[in-house]
Amino acid sequence: MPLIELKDVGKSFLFDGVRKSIIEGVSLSIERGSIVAIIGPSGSGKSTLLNIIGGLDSSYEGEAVVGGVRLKNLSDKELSRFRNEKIGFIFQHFNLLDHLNCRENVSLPSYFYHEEIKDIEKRVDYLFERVQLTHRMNQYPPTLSGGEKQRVAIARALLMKPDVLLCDEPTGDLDDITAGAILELFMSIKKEMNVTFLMVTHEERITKIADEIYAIRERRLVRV
Amino acid sequence: MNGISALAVKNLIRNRKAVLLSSVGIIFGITSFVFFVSLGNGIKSVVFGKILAQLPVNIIEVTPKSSTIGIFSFGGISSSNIEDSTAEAISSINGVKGVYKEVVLDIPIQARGEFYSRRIVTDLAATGIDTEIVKDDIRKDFRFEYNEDGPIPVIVSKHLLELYNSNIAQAMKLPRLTPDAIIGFRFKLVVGKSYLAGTKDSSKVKEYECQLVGFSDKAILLGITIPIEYVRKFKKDIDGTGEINKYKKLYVLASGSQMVPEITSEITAMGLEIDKTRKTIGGVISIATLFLGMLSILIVALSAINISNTFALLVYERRREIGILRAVGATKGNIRYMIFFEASVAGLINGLTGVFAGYLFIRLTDYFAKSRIPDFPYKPDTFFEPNLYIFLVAIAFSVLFCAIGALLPSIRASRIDPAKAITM
Ligand SMILES: Nc1ncnc2c1ncn2[C@@H]1O[C@H](COP(=O)(O)OP(=O)(O)OP(=O)(O)O)[C@@H](O)[C@H]1O
Ligand SMILES: [Mg+2]
Repeated sequence: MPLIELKDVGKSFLFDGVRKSIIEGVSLSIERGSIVAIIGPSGSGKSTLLNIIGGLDSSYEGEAVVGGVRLKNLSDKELSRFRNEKIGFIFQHFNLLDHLNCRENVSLPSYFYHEEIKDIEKRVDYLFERVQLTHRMNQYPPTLSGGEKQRVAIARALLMKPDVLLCDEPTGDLDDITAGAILELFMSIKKEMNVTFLMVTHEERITKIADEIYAIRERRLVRV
Repeated sequence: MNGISALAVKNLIRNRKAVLLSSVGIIFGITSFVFFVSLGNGIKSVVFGKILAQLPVNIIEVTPKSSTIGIFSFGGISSSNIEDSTAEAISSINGVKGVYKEVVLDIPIQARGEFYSRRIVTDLAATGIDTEIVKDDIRKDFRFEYNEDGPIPVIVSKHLLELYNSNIAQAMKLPRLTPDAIIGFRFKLVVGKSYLAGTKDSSKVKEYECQLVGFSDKAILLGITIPIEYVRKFKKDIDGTGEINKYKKLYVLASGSQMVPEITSEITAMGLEIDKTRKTIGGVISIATLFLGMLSILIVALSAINISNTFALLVYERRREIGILRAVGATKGNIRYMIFFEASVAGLINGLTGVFAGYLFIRLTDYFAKSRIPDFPYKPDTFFEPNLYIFLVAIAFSVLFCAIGALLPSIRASRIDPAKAITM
C-alpha cells in the first residue's frame, strides 16, 4: 500500500462569489521512502496540494489517504493529531518562532502530543547533533543564518518521527552552497530514517535527487 | 506546567507592555475594590464593635414614637414618654418575660468631686434604670443595686469615657483613662439643686456619696445612670410622691428569640418604636460598601474591553505563529486554551498588583489619618479591615474579567485557517 494516495482530488476557491478551480482530478500514489518533487509555475496550486496532504486543508474534493489515514471528515482533533504524528512541515521561510530559543522551537510539536513523551530531551539533543547545531541550541532564531534556521526547522519537523516531510521550496531562501548542504542533509536523513519526501521546488538539483517528478499544468498533475 | 501553558506565559512576557497598558483599568478597579470594601468592613466593625451596643437577640428596645436615633439622643431629654399603662400592656403580651424600665430623673442634681486634684462641680443629667438589665455590665467586685447606707452606685456610658479620652483629656491636660483606672471613683451628688434650675427649696437639698461601679451602653451619654429605686427615693424627698409613671425607654425581654418578631409587631401596633439603629446604620454602611464595591467591579468589567481589544490585536499579529502551531499539531482547543491561559495569568498578575496597590493605599491612608487628622471619639487605629477573603474575591474578579475579555479573541484565534496563515 502506498504511503500517500490521492484520488481525483480537486480544490477550488470562491472569488467574489465565483468559484475558481485551482487543481482538478489529481491522482497520485507515493511509496514509502521515496523522494517526490512537484514543480509548476507560481500560483499553480503546489502549496495547495501540500496543505491537503498535510491535513491543513480539509475542504477539497476527492480522497486523500496518508499513512493509512483517510483525511476526509476527520475532526479537528483527529486531524491535528495526524499532523502532529505523521507529518513534518518544512517551509521556504523556515517559520520558526522568534521568541522561543532553538531548543524550544524543536520541542514545540511535543507540547501538542496527547501524552507526555519520555526521553524527549534526548531526542531533541540527538536531532541537534544530527543537524550539527548543538552549539546553537540555546540561541534565538533571529541570531541564526538562513541555513542554520532551516536546519532547526528540519530538526523540528523530525521530532515526532513523521512518515512524511512536506517541503515547500525548502531551499528557496538559501544560497547555492547552503542549499546544497540542506539537500545532502535530506539525503542522509532519508537513508537513516526512511522518511518520505514530498517537495515543491524550482530547484534543478532537487529534481535530480528525486525518484519521481510531477508538474502541475493547466490545473492537472502530470508526471514528467 | 505543560508546554502550552509555558508558551502562553512566554507570550505574555513578550507582550508585557501591551498587556500592562491595557490592564491599567483592571488594576485600578481592583485597587478601589480592595480599598472600599476594606473601608466598609472597617467602619462597620468600629460602629458595631465600639459605638453601637449589641443587644442580646431576645431583648427589644422600645422607645416612644419619633425619638431620634439612639446615639444622637444626648442627655435623654425627650419630649414624649411611655405611659405606665403602656408598659403594663406590654408586659402582658404573650411571650414577654420581663419589662425593664428606664426613666429620666427630672430633679436638678449636681456632682461635686475631686478629679486629679481639681475641684469639679457640675450639673448633671441622670437616668434611673432597672438594675437587672445592666447586671452583665457590672464587674463581679461591684454592685449596682439600691442600698440604704452605702454609696449610691453609678454607671456611665462607655461613650463618655471615649469622649473624655479623645477630647477632654487632651484639652485639659489630663491623663487618658482606662475603665479599670476610673472604676471605684467616688464623688458627691447634691440632689435638689443645680446651676441651671436653681434651688427650689434649700431645706430639701440633700447630699449623697456616689461611686462609679461600671460602664454600660444602657447608661445615658452625658450624665449618670443609677438604679431606678433612687429616682423614686429622690422624688419622694423632693415632692413627696415617689411615683414614676412615665418612661424614657423600655427593655422588653422575650422568653425566646423566636418570640421577638411577634412581640415586635404588637409593640409597633401600640404606636411605639423599636430601636432600629443597628439595622439602619448597618444597612447604610452595607449599601454604601456594596455600591462602591460594585462600582469598582464595574470599572474592572469595563476594562475587560481593553483586554479584549489588546488580545484581539495580539491574536491578529500572531496569525502566522498560530498557523505554525496548528501545523505542528495544535488543536483549536489548544489555541483557545493558550490565549485563555495567557489572559488568566495576566488577570492573576493584575489582581495581585491591584490587591497590593489597594493594601498600600490603605496603609497610606491610615498613616495620614493617624498623623494628620486630630483625635475624635472612636477614632480607630485603622479605618480598614482588609481580609484574605476580600483579596481572594478581588483576584478572582480580575482573573474572571481578563478571561472573559480574552474569550472572543481566543475563539477567533482558534478559527484562523492554518493553511492561509503559514503562507503569509
Ligand atoms: N485562501 C485562499 N483563498 C483564495 N484563493 C487562494 C487561497 N489560497 C490560495 N489561493 C489561490 O490558489 C492559487 C494557488 O495557490 P498556491 O499557493 O497553491 O500556489 P503555489 O503553486 O504554491 O504558488 P507559489 O509558487 O507562488 O508558492 C493561487 O492563485 C492563489 O491565489
Ligand atoms: Mg507556494
